[in-house]
Amino acid sequence: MTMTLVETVTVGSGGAASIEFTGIAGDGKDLMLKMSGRNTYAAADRSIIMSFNGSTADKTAVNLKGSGSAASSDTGTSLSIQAATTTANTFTVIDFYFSNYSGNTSKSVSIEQATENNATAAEALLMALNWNQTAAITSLGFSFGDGNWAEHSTASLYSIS
Amino acid sequence: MATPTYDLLASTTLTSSASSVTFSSIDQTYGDLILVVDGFAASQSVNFLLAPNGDKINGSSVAAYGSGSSAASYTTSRIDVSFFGVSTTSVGLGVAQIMDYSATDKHTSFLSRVNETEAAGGSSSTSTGMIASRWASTAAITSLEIYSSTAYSYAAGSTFNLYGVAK
Repeated sequence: MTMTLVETVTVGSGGAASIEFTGIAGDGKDLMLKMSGRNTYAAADRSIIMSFNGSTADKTAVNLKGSGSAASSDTGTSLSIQAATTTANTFTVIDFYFSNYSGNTSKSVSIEQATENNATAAEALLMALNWNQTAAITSLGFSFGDGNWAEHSTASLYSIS
Repeated sequence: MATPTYDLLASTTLTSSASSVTFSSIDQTYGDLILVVDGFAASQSVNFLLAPNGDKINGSSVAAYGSGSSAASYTTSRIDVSFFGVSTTSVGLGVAQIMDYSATDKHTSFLSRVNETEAAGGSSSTSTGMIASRWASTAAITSLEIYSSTAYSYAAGSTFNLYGVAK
């Protein structure tokens, strides 16, 4: 009964279109995912397309954001990470906590994110995400509409059992 | 092989509705506790409150949350792991870290990450944020009750897991 590293993905030279965890065993209670990422597209940020069991649908969310000068809230389901025009060598960090991921109720995910831009336009975010499906989570995917995961992006999935 | 540092101490998945869940005889050898509650209401709105050693009196909390349209903050005189509570169609997920729970020379601090979302895809009564709480007692926490102030029950399928973090 412990917290066990399932897999670490480290993006190599040339980047990667997606980060995928497949074949997730259902023998844990919760999952934890720790990510450090950056997008290669020539912009300040790009949204992650997150999929559960290959599906990007059936998600709702509520967010609390801090910009350094104000706090705000919205219901967007996108996680936006920094891209190529932000300060070099800075990455966005994201912690995901998937509760009861193998149960038969809808899935709640607690997310905390911080951008690390050594300039303006940095942000801290708390997200409550719900995937409105009762199936056990067996795979997770993270991709983009534009650009790729930059080299040195990492994602580590842990099982808590 | 690395030594496990995050151990499951107790776990409850409700097979029928219940108005509270109590973890008793908590192992005193860990540094911190982490409580994960993931539940919804059996009939009418429930919230998730904590009573260390059965004490529902000597708690206080300050919360910062977003409702989907605005950000706000409030205080309470109890130990909260939820904001406004959840219904039969919404889900409450709270992850509470209970620091130095076995200490007897200071009050106990709680830091909770709280999410309330609509399971059916709706957008009403949703919120996310954090709550800092204090239990005004120097006693070690040997039991932890999760209860609702609304007097209604948690639904079957709700899960309550208590982990110990090694020191």
